Amino acid sequence: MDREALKEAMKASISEVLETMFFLPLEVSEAETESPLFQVSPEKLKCASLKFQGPYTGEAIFLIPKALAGSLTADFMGRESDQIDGEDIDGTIKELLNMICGKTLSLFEAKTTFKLGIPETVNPSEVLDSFFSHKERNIALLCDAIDDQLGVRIVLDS
Amino acid sequence: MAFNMLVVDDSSPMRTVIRKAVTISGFNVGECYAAANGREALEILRSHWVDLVITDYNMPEMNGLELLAHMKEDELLAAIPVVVVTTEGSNRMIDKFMEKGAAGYIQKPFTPENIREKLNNILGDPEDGQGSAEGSDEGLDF
Repeated sequence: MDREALKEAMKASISEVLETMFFLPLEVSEAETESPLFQVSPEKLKCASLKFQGPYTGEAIFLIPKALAGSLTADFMGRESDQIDGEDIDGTIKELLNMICGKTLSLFEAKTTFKLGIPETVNPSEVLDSFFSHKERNIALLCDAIDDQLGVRIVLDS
Repeated sequence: MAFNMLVVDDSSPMRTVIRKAVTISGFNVGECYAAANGREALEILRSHWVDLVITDYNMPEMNGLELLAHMKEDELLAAIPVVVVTTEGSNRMIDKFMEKGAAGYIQKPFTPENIREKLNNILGDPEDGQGSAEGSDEGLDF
């Protein structure tokens, strides 16, 4: 597996999805355990997970502060923040991960087809502990938005 | 003349975004029905007049490709144009949609311009007065 190529595909996909559909300019870099996102209490985070199969199988994870998830959802749906609910927020972060993961895999292996699972919301505390595990087959990226950070991780099965 | 549209996606926010993107593209949408998967979509299609289906590919219960296959097998539904919206960008997958009879596909992430361009080919350009009204008053900035 060309780890560098997968990382570049992830970076390009994250930027394209968030800039095209959410008008959120950001800078993407490798995540570090000391990054502010990982100091946030799990109760203040939202998290989505998506499994995929194909030439490589694995899982993509999306981690975002609740407040940012709320404002992204309102912008995405063209509504005021008091017109959205938890279901809208969950739906938006799942869709966001679906687009990032699908785009990443398309860029990474353009000639083959991956089967994406159905995105699910997961408990952030379960994810935080393992965000940096399996370093050799794990790519964890941090996206710096204007006032906040969000994280995307892809881990391939061994 | 207004056209009735069915948007099929398991993501409620994405259904909202697609509907708004079509509307701000200047197309005159009459009724806009929504379904969370292919099975729900077939129920709506069998009980309502629909002129266009825009469907996600990856959904639980019945995906967009299966929905397309069911529609093509049903003589009452076979002629309704279906546009598949997908994150799947591989040529093999796109070929599959087109072989099954999709009128087009839109890759996520998309802009309203992508939607407009695709629907122009199917419904005609709204600025030519085909399939259009005087634009939307929803004031969307998506």
